Amino acid sequence: MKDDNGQAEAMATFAQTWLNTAQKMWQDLASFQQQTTEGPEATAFTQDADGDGKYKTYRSMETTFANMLTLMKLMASKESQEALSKGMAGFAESMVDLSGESMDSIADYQAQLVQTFAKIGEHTTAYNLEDLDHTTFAAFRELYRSELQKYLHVPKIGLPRENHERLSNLVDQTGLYYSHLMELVFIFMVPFEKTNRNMQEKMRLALEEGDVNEDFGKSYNEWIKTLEGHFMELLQSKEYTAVLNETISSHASYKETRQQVINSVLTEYQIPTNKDMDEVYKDLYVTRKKVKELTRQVAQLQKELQALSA
Amino acid sequence: MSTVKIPVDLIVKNLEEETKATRSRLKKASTVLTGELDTEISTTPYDIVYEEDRVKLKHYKPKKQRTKIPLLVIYALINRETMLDLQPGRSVVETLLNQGVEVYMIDWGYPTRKDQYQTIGDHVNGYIHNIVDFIREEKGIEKVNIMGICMGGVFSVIYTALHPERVQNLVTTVTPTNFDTNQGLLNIWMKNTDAHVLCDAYANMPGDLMNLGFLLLNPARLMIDKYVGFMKNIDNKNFVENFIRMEKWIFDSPDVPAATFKQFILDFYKKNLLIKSELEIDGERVDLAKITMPVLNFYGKFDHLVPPEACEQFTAEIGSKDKEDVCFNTGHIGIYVSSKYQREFAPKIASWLSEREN
Repeated sequence: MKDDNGQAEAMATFAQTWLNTAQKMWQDLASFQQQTTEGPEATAFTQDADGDGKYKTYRSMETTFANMLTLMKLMASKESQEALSKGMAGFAESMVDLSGESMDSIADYQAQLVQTFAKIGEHTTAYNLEDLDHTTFAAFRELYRSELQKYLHVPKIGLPRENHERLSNLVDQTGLYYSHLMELVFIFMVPFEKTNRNMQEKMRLALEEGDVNEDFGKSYNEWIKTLEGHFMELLQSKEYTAVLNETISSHASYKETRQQVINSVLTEYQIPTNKDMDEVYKDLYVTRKKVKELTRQVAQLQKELQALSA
Repeated sequence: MSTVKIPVDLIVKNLEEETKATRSRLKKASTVLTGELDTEISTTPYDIVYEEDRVKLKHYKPKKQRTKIPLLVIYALINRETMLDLQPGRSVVETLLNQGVEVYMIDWGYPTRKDQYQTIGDHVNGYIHNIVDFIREEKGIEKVNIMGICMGGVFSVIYTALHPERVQNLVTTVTPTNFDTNQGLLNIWMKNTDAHVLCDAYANMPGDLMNLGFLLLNPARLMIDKYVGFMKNIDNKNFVENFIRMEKWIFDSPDVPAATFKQFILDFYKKNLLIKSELEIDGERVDLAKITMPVLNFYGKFDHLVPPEACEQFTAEIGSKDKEDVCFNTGHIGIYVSSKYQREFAPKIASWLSEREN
């Protein structure tokens, strides 16, 4: 308690000194501004339209300084300093909490990674992809969604808000798409890894029994057959189809978002975008179809007319 | 503990021989790859007799015509019709011509962004309908024979059900009509993913993206083993030429118009409307019972794209009495390009058509 009081007093003295210095600096600056704008270089832009002897810029600055000084005086009061001190402490606390949450998520992700690494080197059985582990990618996406994505979704403001929004979306979709693509590539490497381990196991057993295969072609044929079997197992699995579907969907979203950014640039340069051209193509398609149908009808009518006249 | 003796001398000897053979192969390969290679595809002469937008109609004339009614071949929108004429001696078109069948074949061209709104109806009731009318007028006939391939087979089935009065005989090859199956990865993926959203992102479904998807159906064979095989035979001129021809065809992938692709995924793969005769094209129901002409249905036992289960139900749902299913012990492409089925596939079509004409 005693410590707290001492700390508050020290803070108050420090704030008072800082405010006095700041006040003096702003006053000096204001008087310097007054001197320069009164000189021969003063322009119509800076001169007061009412001709009251003061200048617009100076008047505006004077008001601003006066407001700032009032605010600083208020801030210098003991109550305000205590509130400020508490607020700062609360802010620091919330920052610690926030980083704590992020660290927890990173720790979860690392735990997943460690589990994955731990599985490397475990015994493997041919044509069995049950230990297919691609949860690391899901953990990464979870981390991305909980810790990074929200910052990209912060509402954008101001004149360029739409551009910011498009760029944020592109960054977001790129991250998601590449995480799915990497997962697909990873899952695709599993049959190779399993086949190689399986072949090594077979070679070890053969060597132990004194059976040395000196025919490379035979070994290759066995390897490719095992690999084909592992791929068939993988490609038919629900896990693979799910990852494939997510990669396709995220690729389509990424492509669409990228196109929106490209379109905005093209529009800026007044170059027709794909969207503009698609509208033209649609009109062309409908018109062409209509013309073909009308041509067919005309030919039919001509035939009927000829038959009647004959 | 017994000690195992490793035959180091044998391993070293094999390694030495292998190194010598590889060196010799690479030397020959250099001559083959830098020499003149015949890798042209689609070399059988034809005339372009009809054009509409990006679509062209190829006309192949036999030296001696044995059937009066020509055969219109409708290929898929995925990859190109050049697969039917890969090289002399390995060409369905050439075999059909040798058997006296006059052939018309649709070249769908390369759809661009402006074609993204084209639906299945635009292909069936538009391009195919106009082409059939053109042939009928040109040849002075009431009906034509139609042969559909894969997605082109689906278009053929729809067209025949909607306009049965214009079709004499229908031949479907590796044509998926029943999509309610878990045979084949394509069915699993298309049912459980939202691949159609890519159309909104790309306007059309990019051919390269689809090709990547096809490669992923069997990465070990299609992305590794195939090229290992190429390296093993890199000194064989004939092998290299055939390999390059296939590469040219496989990676020549036009985009598929967005509206058509979307409709194909949603109405066919996800809802399976065709086989249930519940599909609607341009407001008209596609009733398979209206297919009453003779039908010949081919499919591959080891087809990983269009599995047998997707093809064999078709003949049971149509109204035809004269119908036949033919299952070959091969895959999706093998029916058209393998040496064995070159001798069986096209000759069977020619004789079947000829029998029905007589």
